[in-house]
Amino acid sequence: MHRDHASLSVEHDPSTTLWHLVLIESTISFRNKKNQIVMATSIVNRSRRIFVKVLMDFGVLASLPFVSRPIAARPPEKTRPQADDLMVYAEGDRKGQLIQAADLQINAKPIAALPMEPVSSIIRAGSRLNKVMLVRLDTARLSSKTAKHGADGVLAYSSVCTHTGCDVNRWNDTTSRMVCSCHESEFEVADAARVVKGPAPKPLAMLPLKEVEGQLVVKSGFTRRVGFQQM
Amino acid sequence: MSQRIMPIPCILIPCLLLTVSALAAPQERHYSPVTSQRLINPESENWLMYRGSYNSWGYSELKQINRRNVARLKPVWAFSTGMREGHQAPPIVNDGYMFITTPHNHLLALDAKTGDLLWKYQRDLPEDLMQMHPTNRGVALYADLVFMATADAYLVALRASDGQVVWETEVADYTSGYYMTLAPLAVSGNVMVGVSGGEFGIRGFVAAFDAATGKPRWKTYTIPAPGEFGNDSWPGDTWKTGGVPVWITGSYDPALDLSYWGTGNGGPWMGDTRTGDNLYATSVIALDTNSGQIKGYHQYHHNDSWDWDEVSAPLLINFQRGDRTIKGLVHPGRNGYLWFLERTQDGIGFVDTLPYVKQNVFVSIDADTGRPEYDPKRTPGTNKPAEFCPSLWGGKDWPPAAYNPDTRLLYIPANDNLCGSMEGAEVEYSPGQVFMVGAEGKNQLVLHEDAKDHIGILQAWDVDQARLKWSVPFKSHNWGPVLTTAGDLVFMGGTNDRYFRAFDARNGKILWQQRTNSGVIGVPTSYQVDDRQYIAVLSGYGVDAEREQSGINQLRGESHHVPQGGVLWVFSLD
Ligand code: FES
Repeated sequence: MHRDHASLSVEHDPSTTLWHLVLIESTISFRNKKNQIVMATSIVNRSRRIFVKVLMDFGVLASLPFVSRPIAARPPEKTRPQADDLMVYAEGDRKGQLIQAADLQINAKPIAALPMEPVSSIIRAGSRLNKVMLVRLDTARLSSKTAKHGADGVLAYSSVCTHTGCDVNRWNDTTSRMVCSCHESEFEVADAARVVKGPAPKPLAMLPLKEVEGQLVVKSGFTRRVGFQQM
Repeated sequence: MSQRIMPIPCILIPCLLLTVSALAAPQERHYSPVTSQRLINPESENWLMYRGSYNSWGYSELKQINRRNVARLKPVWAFSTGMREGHQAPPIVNDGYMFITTPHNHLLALDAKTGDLLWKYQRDLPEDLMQMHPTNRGVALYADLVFMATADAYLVALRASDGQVVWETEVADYTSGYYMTLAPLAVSGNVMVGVSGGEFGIRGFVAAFDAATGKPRWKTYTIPAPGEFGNDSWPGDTWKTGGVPVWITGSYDPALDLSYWGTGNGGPWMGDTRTGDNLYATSVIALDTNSGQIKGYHQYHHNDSWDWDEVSAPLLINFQRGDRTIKGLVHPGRNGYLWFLERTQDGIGFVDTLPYVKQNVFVSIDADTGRPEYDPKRTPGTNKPAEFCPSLWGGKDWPPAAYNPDTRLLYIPANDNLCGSMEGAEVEYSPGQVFMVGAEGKNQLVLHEDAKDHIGILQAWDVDQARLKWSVPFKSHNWGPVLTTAGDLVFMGGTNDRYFRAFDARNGKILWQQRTNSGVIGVPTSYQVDDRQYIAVLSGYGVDAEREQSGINQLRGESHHVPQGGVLWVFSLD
């Protein structure tokens, strides 16, 4: 840190940013991009026991200075997949149409998909970090931690490579691995996208799924942080 | 232009956090503004730009460290950047201030003598960014500002003395695949940058910005629009997504007031997807620095199908041909040929060329124009496999060659005996997505049998006779940018054994070497503070050097590992 950071800089987009100033206890907190609440002791106005809670999104906390793209109160199209979201085709002729579990054949090329908010039918296409690849494998091949996040063998993995963020766009049907064509990282689909080759440091995030009346439905949010770590 | 920085008064807790992690405030110290005059005639004690001088020689006039005493060279301090991936930036020095950059756009100012950290800037990059090449190749200096081109395609200007951001300007939209890794070029109050993103279907350009305000001055596309000269060398709409990035800093001739930029290959990679010459891909272009107008070009090879970006800027060298002294441009091409060109007010002329590594693609070269003829068997296409030498990383990729006016030798950090094979598949453009050989396309390395002997090689070429004078082979591939000095020395790392070496500039003898933390793919520089000469270089393997290592590991059945993590090394005589 250097003294430049004495001036806080924030890109303030009124449509996407909420600044909450709430008078509460003697702590101040704000959320970083991982949605972790970061707390610090307040120095403001102790004598009157009025303290301020600043709830705002600071970007990755480690990457000071505070020049940030706020993501608090993201609009639905930018919000990460949520429980009960449905899945739609992200590209191709059927772009935007609902994906049925039956659309996925065992060991066939993964289908690029986006989650859709079920009530408003808003597709979460506002961030490439929401895109997943759907693939079906024989359940007998799946490791237990993989099977538990799948819907009868249908698995959803983030399409964003954990190396430096390219789309994992290739499929090897002989090995049943997803391959990132940027720098050839390979992910073992049957085993929670374990890295088997290449520079990717971590598995792809999984999006737990369930099947409801033939429909693929999101069970809960991503199992790990989507994207890559800038370090 | 987008102004994202809005100073907000330091209220509430952020300030508290700031204090917690604050560095010691930089002490009051002098910083001499960098003028156009100083950039044209840089003092030998400083290293004011990417290659030290506008002619791109990578040459230092300092000779306190020389071939007789270099064996006594010792590390005097080091600095860990805390970052992984490719550390390629030259330590740039003015007045005892040193500036280095790292992957993900950290910019650090250090005391060039003591290694104290003076200030640090960390770019907050967007979380949805793709980084095909996580690296940065350093800063430019002008007036009292430091300039960095960023991975989210911004140009940022900071005050050199304390790191205060003075302005930042969006150069291009990162979501359509644009990014930047090069050191900007500052000329007469303009700061010029080129854009990366050839892998993502961008349309490349060079743009200039007012150094004081960040206001755009001009923008010149490397692919002509309809109605402009050269557009007919692109079929249909292919010019819109044809790549031709510019990701290495240009050279500049103040006498002609022209800057020379190398350009990347066309996209997608298979030439048959864009039949035609594809101007100004794989070329050198001469740009008027005031207007951005293209005043001349030479296309090293047309309709590329090998991913041979020719992005290294040519070195401005005046060489002899018979009795004639030619004001030249010299470029060891990624295509494996060493190009000798002539620079004039009106354009760029072809002089001669010859291969400097095994090259089996060109079957002939037109003696007047330098235009190569290709062997179709060595030219891959869509659903058409072909094997070719050199590999896609070429005879020399981006690591800069250096020229020493005392020895009149050009030092090329080359790779030989490594070939490639490719086959393109159908590829569809989608903004911001890879646009290379197609998801089902193939792209592999092939070892030539002579690779048993060496792949990496440091070559020294006599520029007047266009003749190889000496060379030093390495079993490892070589990604070492070169520095040469008036002390009759050549410095280069680049091999996978983590060494940084000093060679006798006259004969290539290894005179000194230091094993470092990682592989040295940083651009070495030399400077002087208080009568003491230093050599500085970043060690931090990654990006393509690492990719190539894993490819070679597979072919050789080895598992050679080069650790990552950036450390700046600074050497001096004991
Ligand atoms: S971004 Fe996927 S392997 Fe590098």
